[in-house]
Amino acid sequence: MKTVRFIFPLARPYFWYYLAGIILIPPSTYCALAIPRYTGAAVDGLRAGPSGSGAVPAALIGALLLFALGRAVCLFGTRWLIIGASRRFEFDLRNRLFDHLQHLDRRFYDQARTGDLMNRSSTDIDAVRTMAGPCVMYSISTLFMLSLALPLMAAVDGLLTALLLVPLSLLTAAVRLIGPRVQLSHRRAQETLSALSSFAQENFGGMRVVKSFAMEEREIGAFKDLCEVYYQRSLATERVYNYMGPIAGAVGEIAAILLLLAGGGMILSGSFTLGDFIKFGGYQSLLIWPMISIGWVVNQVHRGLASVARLEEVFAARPAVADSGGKSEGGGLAAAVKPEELRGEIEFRRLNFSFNGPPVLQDLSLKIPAGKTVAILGRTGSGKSILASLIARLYAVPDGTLFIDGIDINRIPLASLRQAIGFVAQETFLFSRSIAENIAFGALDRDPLRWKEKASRLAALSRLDKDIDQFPHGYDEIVGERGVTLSGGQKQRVAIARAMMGRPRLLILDDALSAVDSHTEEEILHNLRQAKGDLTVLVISHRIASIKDADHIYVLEEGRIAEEGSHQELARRGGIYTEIFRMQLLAQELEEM
Amino acid sequence: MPPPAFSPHEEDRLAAPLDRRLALRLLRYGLPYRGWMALAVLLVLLVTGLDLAGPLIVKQAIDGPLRQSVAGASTPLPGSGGGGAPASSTASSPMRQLAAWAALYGLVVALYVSLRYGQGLLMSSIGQKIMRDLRLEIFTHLQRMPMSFFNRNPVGRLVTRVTNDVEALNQLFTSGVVTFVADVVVLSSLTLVLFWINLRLALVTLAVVPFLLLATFVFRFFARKYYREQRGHLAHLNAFTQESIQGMDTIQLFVQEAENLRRFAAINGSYLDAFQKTVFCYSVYFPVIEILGASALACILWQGGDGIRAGTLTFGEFYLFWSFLGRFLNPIRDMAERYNVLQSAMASAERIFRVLDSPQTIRSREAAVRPARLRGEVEFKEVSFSYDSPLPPPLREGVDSPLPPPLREGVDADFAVRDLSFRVEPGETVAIVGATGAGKSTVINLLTRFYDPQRGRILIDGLDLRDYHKQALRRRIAVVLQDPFLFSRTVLENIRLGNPEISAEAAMEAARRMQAHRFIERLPQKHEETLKERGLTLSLGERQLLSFARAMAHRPDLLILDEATAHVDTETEKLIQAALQELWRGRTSIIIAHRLSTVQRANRILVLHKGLLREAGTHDELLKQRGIYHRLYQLQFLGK
Ligand SMILES: Nc1ncnc2c1ncn2[C@@H]1O[C@H](COP(=O)(O)OP(=O)(O)O)[C@@H](O)[C@H]1O
Ligand SMILES: Nc1ncnc2c1ncn2[C@@H]1O[C@H](COP(=O)(O)OP(=O)(O)O)[C@@H](O)[C@H]1O
Ligand SMILES: [Mg+2]
Ligand SMILES: [Mg+2]
Repeated sequence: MKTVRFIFPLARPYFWYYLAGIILIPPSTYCALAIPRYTGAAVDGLRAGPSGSGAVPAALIGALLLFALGRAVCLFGTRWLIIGASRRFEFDLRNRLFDHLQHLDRRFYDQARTGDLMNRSSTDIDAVRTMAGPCVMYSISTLFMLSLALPLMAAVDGLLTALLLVPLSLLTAAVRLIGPRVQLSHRRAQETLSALSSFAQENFGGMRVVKSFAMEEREIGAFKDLCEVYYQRSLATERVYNYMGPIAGAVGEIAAILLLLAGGGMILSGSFTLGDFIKFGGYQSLLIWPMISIGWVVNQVHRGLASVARLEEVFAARPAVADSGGKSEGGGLAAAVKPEELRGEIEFRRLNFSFNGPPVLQDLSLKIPAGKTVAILGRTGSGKSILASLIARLYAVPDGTLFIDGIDINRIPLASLRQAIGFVAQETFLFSRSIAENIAFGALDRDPLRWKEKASRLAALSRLDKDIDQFPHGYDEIVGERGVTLSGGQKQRVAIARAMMGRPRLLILDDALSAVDSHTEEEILHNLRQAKGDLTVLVISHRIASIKDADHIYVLEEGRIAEEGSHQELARRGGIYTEIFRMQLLAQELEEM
Repeated sequence: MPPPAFSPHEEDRLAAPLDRRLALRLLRYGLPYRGWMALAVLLVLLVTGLDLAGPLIVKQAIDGPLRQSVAGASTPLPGSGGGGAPASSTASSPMRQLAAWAALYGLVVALYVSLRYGQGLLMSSIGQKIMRDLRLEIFTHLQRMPMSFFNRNPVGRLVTRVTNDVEALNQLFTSGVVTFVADVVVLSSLTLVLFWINLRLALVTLAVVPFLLLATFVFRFFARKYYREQRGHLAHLNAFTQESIQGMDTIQLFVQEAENLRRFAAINGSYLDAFQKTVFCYSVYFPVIEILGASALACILWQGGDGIRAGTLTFGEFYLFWSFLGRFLNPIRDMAERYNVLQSAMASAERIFRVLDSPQTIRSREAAVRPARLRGEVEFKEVSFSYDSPLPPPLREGVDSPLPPPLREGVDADFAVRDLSFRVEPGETVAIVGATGAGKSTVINLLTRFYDPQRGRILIDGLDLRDYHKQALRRRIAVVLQDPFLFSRTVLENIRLGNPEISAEAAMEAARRMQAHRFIERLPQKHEETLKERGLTLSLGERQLLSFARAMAHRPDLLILDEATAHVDTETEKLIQAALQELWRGRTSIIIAHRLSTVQRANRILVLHKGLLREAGTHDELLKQRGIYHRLYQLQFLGK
């Protein structure tokens, strides 16, 4: 029940829509029930009286049509109001979920699967909406139909009404028996479908590898097995599910047989007229369809509740990285910090970091003075990228371990912090939009004319301009999913231009030029130095050439700082750095021999 | 030529709801199960017949045993208390008849229920079988599509083809086609029966049918329009959500949450609008049907009443008209509901067939050579290639009908590789260097036949690439790319890739030699650890090491490294190189790298510039030439 409580506040704004829709249901039901009543009366009137035209009084027919009109108007109102409200509710829920997802941190996404999240934001939301719309409408309609029709029927004949309860309870029993089974086997089939879809997703995404290693046939084999399992499970579902239709149909027919037998008997004994017979039959058919719909409603509500629970799981996930994080003394948010006021001085103080396993960063103390360029070099997996991502608070850090301009990072508003940082990640993610839009992704200024001008300036800075000139659509070239139509170096240079767009105070280049040749790299570094001003820069690279001009260099080894100093100092020290330098210089030495 | 446009709205395009061509093609998938299909159709006819039998039985009862009582002549005799016995004795015979009719009705219902269950199950199992076949066919077809196809089509869209689109067909098989047929059968047989019983009343009652059809037609027109809008927005919404989830880091780093939410809400809003219009259509349509039904009822009462008075209509027949009215409205209403299902199924079918019809441009020929080993001799002969070529690549030299136009500077500026000729001797290590976008990766793409060149030939061991069986050839070549792709399978599986010839020991040995064991040992489950999507929780360098291990474990005859160590530190790279030199003695390799320390040991170095081969030779020779390589070298080691 906890789950339902979470959903109610979202439906609150539409309370009046629901109420209005529900208020229309009793008159609608009344009108519907009037039609068999008038039909029965008309039939009874036929038994006596002279022959000729106008056997059924025009007034009676008129009244019947009037009630039909009333029913129609109410039906329209109910559906339009309730289903419409459920759509709006769905709209809100979707926005809420998306907004929530945007505020979850990287720890969450490290564990989550894209396909699963997609499922929750489509299938589950649909199920919840069905529960909030059609289910509400049908169940309340059924309720009113039952409570209004049964007394009317009892008034026609008590015994017959009592008899009718037999097939109806049969129906309820069947629904309760079959429903959960359908549910269960449906869920199992759904799980297989989701596995099948993940498999396909990965296969298509990794097609390059699939083809390179000629694994197509093996992949087809594995997919075939999944299809077979899914087929078996779907069939199992169908086997149970297919009972529903015939049983529902049978209930209507059994009611009709009972009416024929008992009603017919009473007609024979004279206590019943054909008018009564038709009236009762009319009531019956009005009652049976809502009763059958209850079976459907129950199924949908089961599904809906399961979906609410799955959505709530996502909503319950709380980001460890959020603006209320600072609990240190003098705590609270340093709200005054504006991105342009940050100088970009960074200090790690004895920071430890791990992912429920061996430590990734250990007892790390490191300082990047404002306006300086600091470089980090280190083995694969030594924690360089993690270190960089901590500065942008992609992962949460304990209080008192990381400071920007002397302020605990947990006290700086997240938006200010990130606006002050230009981040070029090791792996480039581009959106399937135009190149111009990708460069201007972080633009504060949304005026397209102005950012286009700036985008071309930044493209020149990252030496992307000549490449763009060669694209058929220039800056409007769409780059494809994740930027597939660009070469590795082009992607990286778009990312650099993108990072510079927001006028950062601190630039982080995580192996950002690895796919760029040394000539272009040198030009970009030159341009960056020109444009640098008082920008603080953190460079992570394996190439000595791109870091040797840094003011200070740290060498990371298994999450610790192994060496530090300027290029000159480190090159002479005879440690790890010297060794790497020597290896990279080998060519030169060979030459000199 | 512009690159093939990405249309996020491809899902908008909708087929006609009952496109004959599509329907026939779909039907062909039922061919293997035609016996069962025929049985299902037979069952549908039976079930429909039984469904109509009920009201007919009641009619017979009313006009038979109940006739007297119903007509009003059987008003109980005055003083019924005394006449109880004779009344009951006279009533016993009609009562028995009544019971007989009821028993018949019961029998019909029992038969109806069991046949309907059988028919439903039969249809859904045929549907599931067809879906299984179709799904496998799409997947298999996609496995054979060229790489360029995957660059053009977002993964999400292709996944939709094998999942949602196939699922949509399920509805077509299980509830669509057959129920549609059943509805048509019901409607026509109802009409027939009514006309047969009473022509005049049937005409009057069925006078509403044109209005009913008109209403349904108008409804369908609008419902279809809005439904199409809705589908388009939904596809857009899903694509947007997926991209946002995958690029969440980027969104957060650039503080674009608010802007992104605004975009999302805008799409979501369009979706809502389209949906509200659909809701309006339904809200109007159902009540209209209700009113039309009531009008028909009024006609029955008015005309039927007169008929009964005039003696041209029995009460039983009157009952039949009344009772059939409900059965008449339901199928029409259902048809309108089912229309959407049918339409989306047809749209899905069309999208599926579009995938199945997309040609596999790079095919292995019939008599293709399947090499057991390669010596490793590679030769490019005047090869030119453009990614944007509108022309399909020529099949074979000589078969090539008109001579391709000569390449001209400027006009053909978009050629990624031009007039490229070079030779790699067996056992040689050749390095390719050049600026980004120079066409280095393109050379690899051509060599592994992800694309065929528009001009020139590529030979391996003296044989044209196109004479080889594609997969068999690729099995002998291993490529390590700059962007490593890992599957969310175990570490071990990521190395073996399901290849039964690679033992677990061999895989782990490869991992050890490629320096991947260091981080594998640190994982909680070691090599049995299941990786996350794309291996995202490993550092990029670690992922590269793993893909190195993968390549080595496959023991190729030709090794290609495309900036494979770009994210790996110098020390580790050094260790890998040492291992490669030991393992790779006497075998051919082609290496692309930016770090000259990686390439300087190569037997020969090719310098590519804007798709042209500008320099070639050993490290020392190239330095002496004082050309592009010399400049690169100066930059990297001497800093200007
Ligand atoms: N999301 C994660 N979950 C668990 N382990 C991780 C995650 N990201 C990185 N690691 C591990 O942390 C270590 C440091 O990673 P990283 O900083 O990316 O290395 P690098 O120095 O190569 O950039 C690696 O061993 C990596 O496997
Ligand atoms: N799949 C593709 N579709 C269209 N153009 C491409 C594709 N891949 C690369 N290109 C273009 O071809 C040129 C050469 O790219 P590539 O061979 O990847 O360069 P590199 O020498 O850096 O490896 C680039 O201008 C690039 O934009
Ligand atoms: Mg890294
Ligand atoms: Mg490349």
